[in-house]
Amino acid sequence: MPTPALLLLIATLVPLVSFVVLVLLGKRMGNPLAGWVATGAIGTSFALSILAAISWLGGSPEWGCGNMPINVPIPWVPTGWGIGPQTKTGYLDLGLYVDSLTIVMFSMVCLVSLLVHVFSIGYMGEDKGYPRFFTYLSLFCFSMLGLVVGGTLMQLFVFWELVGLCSYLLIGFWHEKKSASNAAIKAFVVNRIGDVGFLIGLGVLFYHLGNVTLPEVWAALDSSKLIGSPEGIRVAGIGMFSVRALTVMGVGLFCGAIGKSAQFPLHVWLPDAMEGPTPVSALIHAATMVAAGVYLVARIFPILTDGAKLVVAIIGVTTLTMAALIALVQSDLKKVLAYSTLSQLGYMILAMGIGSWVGGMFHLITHAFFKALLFLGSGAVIYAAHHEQDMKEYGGLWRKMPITAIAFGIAVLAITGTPYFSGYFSKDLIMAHAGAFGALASEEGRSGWYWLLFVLPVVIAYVTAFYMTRCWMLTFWGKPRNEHVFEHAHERGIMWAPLAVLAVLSVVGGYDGLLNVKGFLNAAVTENTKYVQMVHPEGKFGGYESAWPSDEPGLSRSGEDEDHGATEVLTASQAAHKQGWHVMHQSVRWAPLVGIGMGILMYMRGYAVANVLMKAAPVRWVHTWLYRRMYFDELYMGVFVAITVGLARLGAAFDQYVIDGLVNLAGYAVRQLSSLAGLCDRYVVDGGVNGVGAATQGLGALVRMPQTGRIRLYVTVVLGIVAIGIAAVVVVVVATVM
Amino acid sequence: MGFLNHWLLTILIFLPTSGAVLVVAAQGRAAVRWTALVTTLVTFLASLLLLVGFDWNQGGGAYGSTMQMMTSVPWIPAFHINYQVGVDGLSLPLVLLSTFICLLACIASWNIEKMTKGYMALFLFLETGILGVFLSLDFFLFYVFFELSLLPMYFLIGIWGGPRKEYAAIKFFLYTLVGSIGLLIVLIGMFLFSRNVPGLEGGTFDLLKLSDPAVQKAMGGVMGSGVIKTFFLLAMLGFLIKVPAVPFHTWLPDAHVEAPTPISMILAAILLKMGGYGIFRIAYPLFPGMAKELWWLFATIGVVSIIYGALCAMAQTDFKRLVAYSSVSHMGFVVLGAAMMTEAAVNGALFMMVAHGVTSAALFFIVGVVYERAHHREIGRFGGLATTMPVYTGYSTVMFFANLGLPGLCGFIGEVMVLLGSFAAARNGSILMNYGVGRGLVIGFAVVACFGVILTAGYMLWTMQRVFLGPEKSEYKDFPEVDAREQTVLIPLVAMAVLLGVLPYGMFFVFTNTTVAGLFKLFG
Repeated sequence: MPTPALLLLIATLVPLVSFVVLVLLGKRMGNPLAGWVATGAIGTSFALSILAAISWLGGSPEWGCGNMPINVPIPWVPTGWGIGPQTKTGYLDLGLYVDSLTIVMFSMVCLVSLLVHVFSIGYMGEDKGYPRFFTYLSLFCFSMLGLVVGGTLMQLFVFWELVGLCSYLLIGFWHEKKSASNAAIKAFVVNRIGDVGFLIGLGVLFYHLGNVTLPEVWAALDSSKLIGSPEGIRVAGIGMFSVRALTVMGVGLFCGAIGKSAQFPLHVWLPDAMEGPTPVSALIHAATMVAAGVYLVARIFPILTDGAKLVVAIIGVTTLTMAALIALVQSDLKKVLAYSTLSQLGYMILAMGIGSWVGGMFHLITHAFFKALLFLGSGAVIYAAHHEQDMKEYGGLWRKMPITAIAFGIAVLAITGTPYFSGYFSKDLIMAHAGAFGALASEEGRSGWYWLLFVLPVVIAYVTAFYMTRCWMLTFWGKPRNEHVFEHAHERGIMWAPLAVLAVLSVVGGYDGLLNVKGFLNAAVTENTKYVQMVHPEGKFGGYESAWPSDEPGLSRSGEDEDHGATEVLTASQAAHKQGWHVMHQSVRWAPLVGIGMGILMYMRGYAVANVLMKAAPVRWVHTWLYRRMYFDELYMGVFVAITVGLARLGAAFDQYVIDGLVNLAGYAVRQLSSLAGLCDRYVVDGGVNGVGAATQGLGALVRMPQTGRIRLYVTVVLGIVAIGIAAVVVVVVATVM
Repeated sequence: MGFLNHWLLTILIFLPTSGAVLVVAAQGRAAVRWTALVTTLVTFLASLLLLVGFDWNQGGGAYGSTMQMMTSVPWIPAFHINYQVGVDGLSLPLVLLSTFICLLACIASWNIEKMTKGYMALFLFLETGILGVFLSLDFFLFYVFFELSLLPMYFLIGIWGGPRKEYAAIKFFLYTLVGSIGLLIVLIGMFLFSRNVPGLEGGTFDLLKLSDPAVQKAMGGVMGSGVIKTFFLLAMLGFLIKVPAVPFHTWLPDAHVEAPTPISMILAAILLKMGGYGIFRIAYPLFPGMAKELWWLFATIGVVSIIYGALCAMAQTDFKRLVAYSSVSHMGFVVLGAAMMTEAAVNGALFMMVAHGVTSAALFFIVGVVYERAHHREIGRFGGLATTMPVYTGYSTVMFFANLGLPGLCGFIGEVMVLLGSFAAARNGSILMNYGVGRGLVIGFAVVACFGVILTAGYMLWTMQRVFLGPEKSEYKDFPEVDAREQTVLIPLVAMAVLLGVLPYGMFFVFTNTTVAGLFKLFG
């Protein structure tokens, strides 16, 4: 096995070992040893991931950054048939797939996990479930890393479910709280709804190809093959994969991402998931697991049809808009951050939908840093404030928690897209591509509605800057609104150290010269393209190059530089690309300034201005509507859950009264019949006489017989069997004679 | 080795019976228990010897060619009835499952105080019946064992059961008797018609001969399609009642609720599998044409069982009834997998049987553990057991998630393979597509079945919440943690759930794969 793959495999398994050790010995280790074991494990994984990255950058003739990915399939379950050079034909494989994207994601997950582990040693220090917490965290790390290195959709699905399990366990960590266990169930079940789509997508893919290995799927169903053959893709030896089936498959798989990345309409579980301990929210529900949905879309990106991409984009833009509006009015600090996570995930999903593969993944990485920072910052505040989460009780905390306030402030600047912070680079890339998308759409004569995919994200960028500023101002600025909370507030080294690291990353995460995330992502595109073309030399692979919504093959919306030479003749796609950067500059660059300025002005004096605004009835109505999260929970509880529970009761009643009624009736009839016939009359008639009074209860009467004479009943039964046996022999004899 | 290959299966079948004789002879409760335990243990170890004698690289020949360790001795020569046993990929996993679960159930039976001797004797007698069913290759012999397993089960529920035991026992008995009569008609009918086949003058009960396509062709000419269809439906009825599939399932919840814990374990883990096994060993190989023609009926029954069973489970308030309905739902996957007739689906269905054997046995034991302490099974009255009995909760969590199909545990493999296999039935060249079935219909069944996974997650997690989570309740505060004996039962089950889930090939498919491929040659 090539070095980077081996290193990543070991790095994945180390947390599993830690999990097993903690399951067996965690309680005995106790506080703080259990925490350090888990932290040591993920620290080892992080070190290994860095080694892997170094080895990856060094490269070899067969693999390396910008050269070739590593694909190591492992046969798992037999399926009887299939295409392609699987390890054994007719198997569903698991396997490792290492490209630059894997390297970046893996290191990011390890790093954020490590910091969250360190933070948790402080945060969970007084909790009696301390060893259990780290046991779950280790399991999560294993599952998440297994997902990231997954080389087949099967493996993605397997680890997809496992991270879902960890999410369930950690949301419901304080299991004595009803609200926590409710939230945990909600998270799991809502995710399962998305997973049904995932399963259906896998099924459609499987019945066409019999293979769900990523490179094989890319090679067979590369969406650029649809250019010039709009009815579908012909797969050698299998037949036609119609464009409708391709779209259904793409949307089905995307449903999984809708669930996991909490996109509209399955977004309802994420805000409730804040019932879990705050470090969990930072790790699972902000930086890593919820981003897995985006990661999945990135992995299936080359096979998404235009129709599927349009669905992806619409879901993304709906989520980012809706979530940002709800975030405007929430007063629970973690709820604001949860909705802001939803909104940012919406940006990433939108990016995938409009074909900005690099933009989406780039934002995923930068977002992981600043959102983890925001959540850990909020964790530090909540810890300091006696587990009070309502911003109405905060105010003025910067005086008590200066480091936290600064770190949190840096994250706010990053998420608003303030120039030279990480979010600025990634968000602008997405916006520019959205602009290019709109420009190309009008070029193609498509409806003006396509421009919404650019306009809404731009508007929401302003809104984002505003609500994030509101969040900071209400927490750290102004006068303390709750003296008790303010008095208690303090900072702890083990908790602010991770914040500081994340703050640095939130600043430098976007620069090409430092972490060079964008460089890695562009390299990933090259690697995957080269690999598919090597394995399947007959076909050109253009999966990442979609110029959608144009029909021509064109420029990929990867992280290209802004300046195309003025003199060269531009293709439609290149021209649109240029225009995209232009409109983006024109519109979104002011968002941080305007949004932050408005936020500062409005919340300088705490809630004073807001309270004035609330006096207007329409504002109040909108506020209530948004505050109650647009009533999605009520709708789902009232309709879907109620229908399911109703059906369940109906089914149970049907069983009890109709089916069993028939059975009892039959039993009763048989008994009557047998007594009439005088069959075994000595035994049954006796019982029948005893049972006459209760005859209406049918079989019930029959079964009470044994209470008066059990043996008689048994003999009856045995005789019944003997009778059948005799009947059988008679029939056989008769038949023989015939 | 020669001796073993020839007689191991027979030894296996009759070991428990000889144990039963010893149990009857044994004096004192402890002696009875230990005799039974040693018997099940020896039987289990003997069944492991199958792995030694088993040819792991069976050629991918015709259906019968993967049969191993065959023994055939004339039994009732007048009717060409043979004592004929053998093992192949279909039966081997179920045999191992049976001896494994019987061993654990025997440990679980340790606290049976009422008429221990009779209980243990019947218990061992039951094991003989079960092993006989899975190993017989003669239709008559199969039927005898099929009935033989019914009788001890009836008494075990009827005597050692709960308050409504007689009702449950009779219901169980009548239901399965109805199925047996159908099977009996098929059995005799097939024998009679087989006499018309050249070379089989005098008729045969040999299942391998009856599933030979040439024989079937010759018989088909005499029987006519109406008779074939009737026979197929009668056979399927017998097996579907046993599975049990909706709408023939209502005996199961009652039987489970009244049965003592170890008997519930055996009932769910093994007896239901006799139905699934019958479908794959008898109904489908003997009537492959009908299996194709009536695929839609069984696909419907399978999907309805999955969804309806899950919905009913959700509405239950009795912990044990809930687990029973969950069995109905999970066994629906077996029926669906059979109906879809792709290798992935059938392999998945076979896997599902073993996986469900492990999870259902564990779940019924888990219910038993808490019932023994609380003396009730009302889900609504529990709560907070995670605080009271954390170790017990840990085992339960693993098995709950195994049951709801979490990857890495056994339930997932069967479920996902049946589902993917159902989709695969829609590909060009699959058996159903070649038969001319509408693609949309196949995909429709597959899609609806997928929704079962939401319902399963819903009722399992909801149960989990009501029983284990929440604040600790004062009335349960003093419950002792699971003791050593209970852990002895739970640990092997948890280990199997993990092993099957992580290494499905080495643990399972290595046996079934070629046999299933052979089976498919029958369908053409």
